[in-house]
Amino acid sequence: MANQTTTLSAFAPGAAAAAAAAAAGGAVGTGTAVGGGAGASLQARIQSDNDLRSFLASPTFNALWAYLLRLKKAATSIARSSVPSPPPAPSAVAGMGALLAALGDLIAEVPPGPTTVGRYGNAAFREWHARASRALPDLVRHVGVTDDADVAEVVDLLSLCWGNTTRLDYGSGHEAAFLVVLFVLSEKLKLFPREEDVHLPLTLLPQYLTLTRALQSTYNLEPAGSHGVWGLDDFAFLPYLFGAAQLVDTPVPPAAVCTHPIPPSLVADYLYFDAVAEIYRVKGPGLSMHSPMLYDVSGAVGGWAKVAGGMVKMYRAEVWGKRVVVQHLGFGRLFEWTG
Amino acid sequence: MAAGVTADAGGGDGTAAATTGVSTAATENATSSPAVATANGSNGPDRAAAPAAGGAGTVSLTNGDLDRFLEQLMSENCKPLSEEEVKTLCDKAREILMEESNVQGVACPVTVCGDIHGQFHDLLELFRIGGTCPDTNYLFMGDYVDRGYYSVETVTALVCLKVRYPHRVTILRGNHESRQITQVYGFYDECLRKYSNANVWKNFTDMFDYLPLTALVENTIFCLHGGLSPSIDTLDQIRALDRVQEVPHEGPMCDLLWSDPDDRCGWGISPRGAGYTFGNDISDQFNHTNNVTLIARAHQLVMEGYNWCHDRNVVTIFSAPNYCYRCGNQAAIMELDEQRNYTFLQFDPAPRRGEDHVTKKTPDYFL
Repeated sequence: MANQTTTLSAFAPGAAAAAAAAAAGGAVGTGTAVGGGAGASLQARIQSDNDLRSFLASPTFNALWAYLLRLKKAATSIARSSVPSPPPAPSAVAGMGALLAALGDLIAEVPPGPTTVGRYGNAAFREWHARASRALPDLVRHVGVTDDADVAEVVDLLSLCWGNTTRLDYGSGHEAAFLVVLFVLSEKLKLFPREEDVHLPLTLLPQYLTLTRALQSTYNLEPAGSHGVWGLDDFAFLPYLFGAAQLVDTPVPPAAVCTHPIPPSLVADYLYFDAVAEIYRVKGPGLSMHSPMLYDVSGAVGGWAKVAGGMVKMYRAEVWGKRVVVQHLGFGRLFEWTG
Repeated sequence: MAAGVTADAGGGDGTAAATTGVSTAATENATSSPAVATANGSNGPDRAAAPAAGGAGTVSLTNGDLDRFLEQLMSENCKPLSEEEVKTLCDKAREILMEESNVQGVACPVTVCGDIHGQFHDLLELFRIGGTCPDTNYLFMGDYVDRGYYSVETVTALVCLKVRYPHRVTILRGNHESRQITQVYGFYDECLRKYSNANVWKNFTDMFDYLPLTALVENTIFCLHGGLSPSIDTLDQIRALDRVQEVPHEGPMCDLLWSDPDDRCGWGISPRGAGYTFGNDISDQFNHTNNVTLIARAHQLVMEGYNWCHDRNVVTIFSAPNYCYRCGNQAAIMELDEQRNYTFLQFDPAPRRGEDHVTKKTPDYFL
């Protein structure tokens, strides 16, 4: 007992859990190495509140945040129906889209099994995750990553994006890991040309959301660290941030989210309404009771610009500023620890 | 909808306890002896601060007051108590709770319940399924607050019942009955929203420090929120804990409220970041050492509302149906009759109410 606890990080699963996760190709924090399985290229560096403070003051975080704001700007006042067609294959955007689609197809090959003892989530998710991890190297090469070490690291970064194989849950930390992947592909590997920025929040993010929603519902993934009705959303954050930016200077008022059902045209064009429609689909009408935060936000004075700005502040504080969320991030050569 | 279903009936002695409906059990209980749950005075560490007056206490709150509170609270149109009333209620609850043991003795018959998490209308459904107080005796295993929209109503009602019927209702502490956790998972925000200040949150969380950690039903069924601790082998070690404090980050008191059973043997570090996981070998040894037949605990969402594990050394009970409006799970409660036969009653969510048209309060980020 004592040996186990002293040789592992206080926030990492125990040796047994680590072994199980590694066997499943898992991507949970196992001590200081994350990524799991062979060739783990990442390290968990945020383990204390001090680590978190250094991270938030680091060049890496500043660059990431500047990148987020750049994507938000790219999405501002753009409906999805007015986004130009993504560049055809071979291109990084098409390659990433194909990667997300391939992982989605994999779900059909790994049906949920009998209910897991003692856990809400379905253990078949571990099998999906293991198979996804095996498929990823080839898929990542098709995105345009060529160097073997880069491929290995991008694969490990991606394996943090789908949910936790030990707890069988998914949360905004996994979504944050996807932002890190986009950041690395754009800023470190220069695979997404800057003029294609709009495709990251408005083409690839929706595809990522489609995949992760399918994972959540197929494998009954629990909302990680859920605040219940008091959180913004059980799983997602970025569609609200980019989605509010999309709606700036449109005639649609924020209060339109309170109307159930949401008109299909709004759902198709705006990530914000798509996200709220997903909540209505799962939870039914009654936004003020099952989603009081979204209900309250819909009354913000100052319209969508105010909402979008508030989402950035809230994302910084409630996701990137929470140790329990970002402690699972993995750092390596591409997403560098500079704290 | 949501009629009680006898999904699993049986007892330690193998007797089937076929329960056909709620009313039967309630009728029987109504005629049972009044002193069904008695604190074992020799169990707990004596609290020097306990008021000399004992049951009467120093806080003035009559049964008439409490019945009035309950009438106001226990309906679909539940209206929360005033700030002053909550303060008086919490003061009175503290007087009662400080007399209870860390391993609070409970007699059969009793109905054992798991997490509620502010799902107040489902709690009303629970009482429709399980019977009302005081006709049915209840043991709640913590997590009354957070995540749901009605934590204030839920915890106020349960504490009212505890104070009104102290020997018929037992309320244990869950990991969410904590200052730190409630500031993250909703109860704090809800109190601010409903009372415009944090006084009610402070009164409740101060009172939470006095909630007992575990209960022992008829010396055979050990009930607690989370699970076992590597620091604890015997019930006497639990009795010796100083529980009147915020839930610590580690140590035996933390573990009792945070741990989970696991398929793997031995102790494991919990993926929750607090408490441990424990295997069947640990449960088996604990039950043998302490001469108990079952550990009944809550703390984990399970699809059927209850879930056996560890060769029936452990059962998980979860009493919040369709948890967080999304999980699609049934809820369950465990009825124990006079002969300690158990019956699980499962239930579905209460019918949805119309929307609350509350005033929008723009969160600070969006001002």
